[in-house]
Amino acid sequence: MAKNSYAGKILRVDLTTGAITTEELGSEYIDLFLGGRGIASKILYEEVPPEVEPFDPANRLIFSPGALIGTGVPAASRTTVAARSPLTNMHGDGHSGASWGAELKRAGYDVLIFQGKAERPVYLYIDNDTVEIRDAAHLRGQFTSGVHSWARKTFGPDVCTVSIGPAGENLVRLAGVYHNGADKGVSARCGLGAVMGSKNLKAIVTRGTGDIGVADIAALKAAYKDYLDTIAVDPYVPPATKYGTCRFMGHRVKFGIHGAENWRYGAYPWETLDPEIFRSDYQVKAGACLACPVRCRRDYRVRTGPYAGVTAKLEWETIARSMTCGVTNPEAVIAWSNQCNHYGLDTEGTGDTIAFAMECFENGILTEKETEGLVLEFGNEAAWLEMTRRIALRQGELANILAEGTKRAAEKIGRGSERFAMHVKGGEMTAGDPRGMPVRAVSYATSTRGSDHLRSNPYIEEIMRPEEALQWFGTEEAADIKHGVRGKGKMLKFSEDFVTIGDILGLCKFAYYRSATFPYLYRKGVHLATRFYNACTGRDLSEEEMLMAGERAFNVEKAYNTRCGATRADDVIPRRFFEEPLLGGGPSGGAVVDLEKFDAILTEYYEDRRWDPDTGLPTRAGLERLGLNAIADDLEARGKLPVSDCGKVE
Amino acid sequence: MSEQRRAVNLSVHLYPPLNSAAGSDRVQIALDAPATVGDALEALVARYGAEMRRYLYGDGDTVVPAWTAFVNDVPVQLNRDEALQTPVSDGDELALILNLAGG
Ligand code: SF4
Repeated sequence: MAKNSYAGKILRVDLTTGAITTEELGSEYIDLFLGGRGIASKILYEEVPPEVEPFDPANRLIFSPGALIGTGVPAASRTTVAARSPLTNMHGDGHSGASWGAELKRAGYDVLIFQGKAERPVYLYIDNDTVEIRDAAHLRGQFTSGVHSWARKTFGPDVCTVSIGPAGENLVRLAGVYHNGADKGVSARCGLGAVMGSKNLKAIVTRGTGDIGVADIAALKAAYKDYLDTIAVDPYVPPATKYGTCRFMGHRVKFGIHGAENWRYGAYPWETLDPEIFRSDYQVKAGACLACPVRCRRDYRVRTGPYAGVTAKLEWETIARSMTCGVTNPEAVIAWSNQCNHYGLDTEGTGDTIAFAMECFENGILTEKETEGLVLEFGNEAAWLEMTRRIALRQGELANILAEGTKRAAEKIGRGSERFAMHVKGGEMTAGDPRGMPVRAVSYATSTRGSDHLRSNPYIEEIMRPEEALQWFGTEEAADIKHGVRGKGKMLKFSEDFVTIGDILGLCKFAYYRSATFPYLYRKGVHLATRFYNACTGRDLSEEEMLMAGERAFNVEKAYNTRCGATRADDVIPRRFFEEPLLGGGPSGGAVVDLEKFDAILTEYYEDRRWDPDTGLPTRAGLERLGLNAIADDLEARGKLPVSDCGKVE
Repeated sequence: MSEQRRAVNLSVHLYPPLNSAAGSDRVQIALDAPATVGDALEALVARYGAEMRRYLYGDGDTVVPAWTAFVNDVPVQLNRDEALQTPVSDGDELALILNLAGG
């Protein structure tokens, strides 16, 4: 393998014909798109036009490890999985920190692309140069954990796996792609597990024994030391190491932005879910993703009671979405995480979808007749767990509808239920309630994969001094959490480009793209990221070019969604956030998102992106500035550039 | 006792990682009146030393801007020097929380 962190090859598997081929990963991929999400987005744009529906065999399922995976760069752990999303019908991707991506690279492949559809369930077996499509009839219906255990028993303890659970097989649009079993990592969002299921692909078993070379070890070591020095003084890090992602609870409590009971309550009884309780009563293991010194991964076990013996990896968002369903029993939360991870579901999408159904039940739109006897009330943990199981199996008429995700379920159920459907572009809501925090609200709207807090860093305003905001975004106002408007569109654009770098290089957002000060944030996310990339690849990118790589990938995704029909009207959050004051009292009690401020930030954001503020469409000038001339041509040919760009305005 | 030297007793709720530096989630501090949020931070550093300082100030001289002080549940974003002048009174509850958003 070359000493530049790249294996130099794309592995392509056509599940219809059985053809397995390799292609060179040429400079057209590396130069501008670098790796991970950048390359995945380019391939998806080029190979999956809007005529190809998500479950069409012609849809691609793309696995693209970040450019720095396996190099020893700290927390370089993330692999992108991408496809046209069956949830949003637009660009879809998810990212996982398990070690499978490094294994793929060690086997000699930078990217793995699936196309077509197998006639019967199969798995792909990769052992370095040996690549075979094999029968997976015996794995049908197996949990993600079962597939991983089988693979390690059959092929040895050194293999890594990617798999789907029953939910993916059943084309549940909330299904994720699981890496190394149930408890190591998942590309959760966008229903990519269902795309894998639609191809009859149950698993990928991978062994790679090659080296991933780096160009300049001394430069890598120097950057590594600077990274460790930075996180040693950043107060953001110790709580992560001590509590895992459970640490986020305090922030939600003090700002009163839980979004409990289907995004109605900002303040909510949370005490039973205190991070200290998880740590002292349930934690059995503290670990890390590949090469990460932050070590925020946690496994928990219930010791007594009805869920005794259940273990699960648990992320903060899973706790948050439990509260969305009104569940605050930590043992039920662990049990639910276990269930979702084994059936292969995304906890965020599944939690929100069940919360939607609970509000329908509360309002008589759904009754025990439709729920087949379940009292689907907020906080009824037994009903919540049972509905999750039914969704994964598409068991019963209502579960079959909910398995389509919130947006489609609301369209099918009708009868006014649409007002309870909390999603952006079909992707369920995540993170904290945006009422009272304008830039967060807009960031959920502009994400290219449906509502998402990881597509940007909407929290920069919470860690920035006014003089820094003035320097970076033209006004001190941008550093005012509650009241600022000007500069926030620019801040959002910067933060989207900025965190996209992480997905391109495979750097974890918690380890690089969250921090307690803007200087630490920039040092890790741009400065050190660029140094690491140059040290590993031997290239000489500037920090500006690195930020531009993030901007480029984001624009490719925006263009993809534009080609699928998205406009400014799709960059919006649910009406509830504008119209219904946040309940429960607390610091954000009574808040709504101010529509005028939302629009002003969105317009500034489009202008800074060089997109057309009226339509939200990308412009030729904006795309060509990033070297995306072919995409500009394609959009123009499809009538998807703004009218002014097509020479149709006098 | 003169007006200036009357004690301002504060109950301080320390969120992570400050609780590690103090060995407790809740501590009491006494300041001379008139007192401010900035005085409270300095008192914490004086009592708990280098670790507390590092968490509050990082490797610089200004307060890490991600800290928010809640004075009796009213948030004060500590990202500007004036915010440190926010007065505190005897019997107030002060909570210090890092803006650990990001889930
Ligand atoms: S910060 Fe946490 S989630 Fe990120 S790579 Fe490290 S252990 Fe994994």
